[in-house]
Amino acid sequence: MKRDDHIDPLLHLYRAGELSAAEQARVEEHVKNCVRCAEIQQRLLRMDVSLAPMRVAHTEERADESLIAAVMQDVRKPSRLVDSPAGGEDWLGALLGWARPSFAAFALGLALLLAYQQSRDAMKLAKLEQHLHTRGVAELARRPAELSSAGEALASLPRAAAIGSESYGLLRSLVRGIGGTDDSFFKRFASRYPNLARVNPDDGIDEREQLILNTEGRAFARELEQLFQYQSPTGVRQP
Amino acid sequence: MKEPETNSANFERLLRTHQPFALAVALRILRNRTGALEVVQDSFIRVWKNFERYDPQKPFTTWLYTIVVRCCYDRIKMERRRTALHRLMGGDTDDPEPQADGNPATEFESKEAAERIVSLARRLPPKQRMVFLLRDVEDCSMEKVAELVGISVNSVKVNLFYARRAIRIAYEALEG
Repeated sequence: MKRDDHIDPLLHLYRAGELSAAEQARVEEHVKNCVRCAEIQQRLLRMDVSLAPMRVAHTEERADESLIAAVMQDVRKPSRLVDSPAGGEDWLGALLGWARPSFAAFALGLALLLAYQQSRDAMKLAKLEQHLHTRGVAELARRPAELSSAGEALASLPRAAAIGSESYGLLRSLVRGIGGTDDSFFKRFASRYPNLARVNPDDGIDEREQLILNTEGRAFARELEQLFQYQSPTGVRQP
Repeated sequence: MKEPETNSANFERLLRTHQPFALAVALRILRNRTGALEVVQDSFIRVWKNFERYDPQKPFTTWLYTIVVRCCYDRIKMERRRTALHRLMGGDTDDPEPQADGNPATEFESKEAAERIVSLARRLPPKQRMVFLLRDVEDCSMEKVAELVGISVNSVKVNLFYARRAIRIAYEALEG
């Protein structure tokens, strides 16, 4: 009998429930007259029989302790879906998890910015000291741009109300710079602020010196600001 | 709502009770103990995470069976992709070739014959393999296979036909 291509799919669907009654009858009729299809049908049925023991195999597997331990380890991990009593309300943890790298990047950026500003201010101050030492205040007064730079450098110091040993050290060096080599400016400064002139921050600041900084030091800082006509960190009035 | 620790303890009891059943199902489908253990582990983690979806009106084993079978299907698809990639890179696959050894007539009545058939099934595309294993090894109804694989009954028939034909032809080729 000529091979019927349409019978091939039906031939391979032989188990109960796979074919309709009409299809089943068609297959049976066909294999009566087709040796090859009958062989295929027999082969398929033998395959099915050989698979039968597998359908009941492995029914008595033992509990695997390592598997149980692995699952329970995962289950006991804090998780958004697992240990949150209200069912996934650990939004704060998720937010913090997201925010952590952002915060680290922000902190790093801030640190870099501060470091840059400090180094920039230190350079400006050094430039100011150099100018004061070589030219004096009168020369600076004739050069508004440089005075502006000096004012900005002064602005980088803590304001007079918060003067400390470090700030005073810088101011003191400014005064010495203004005085030049003959030290006359410093002498005038020392006559006006006798206690402050004796404070040397390089050998440490005790309580008495801290008191002097808080009184004479602040007064001196204010006067110095006025000397440079300091107005704001971004601008200096022309002398 | 119970405390998480209490839930964990209850879940561990559930795990101990039903793990042998889940492992048996995974072993029948995958025929590989390492893979079956991993699938069972994944399955129970899914059970834990999705427990609110479980309908207590139905047997727990029915729900667990569905999860295990779907995890097996995922694994089969993953292994198939990995094998294809490995072949693409010019490597050998670790899938052992079935060998003919002895009289086929008696083999069909032996466990080895069944193992060979299942081994041949590993060459099939994932969907055909899954349909074949669920129907011919797991003995699921056509409707159940359709539900588990997520396809229509007609599609199950088509995949089953291609799977059985491919296995039959491969087996005949082994016989020479």
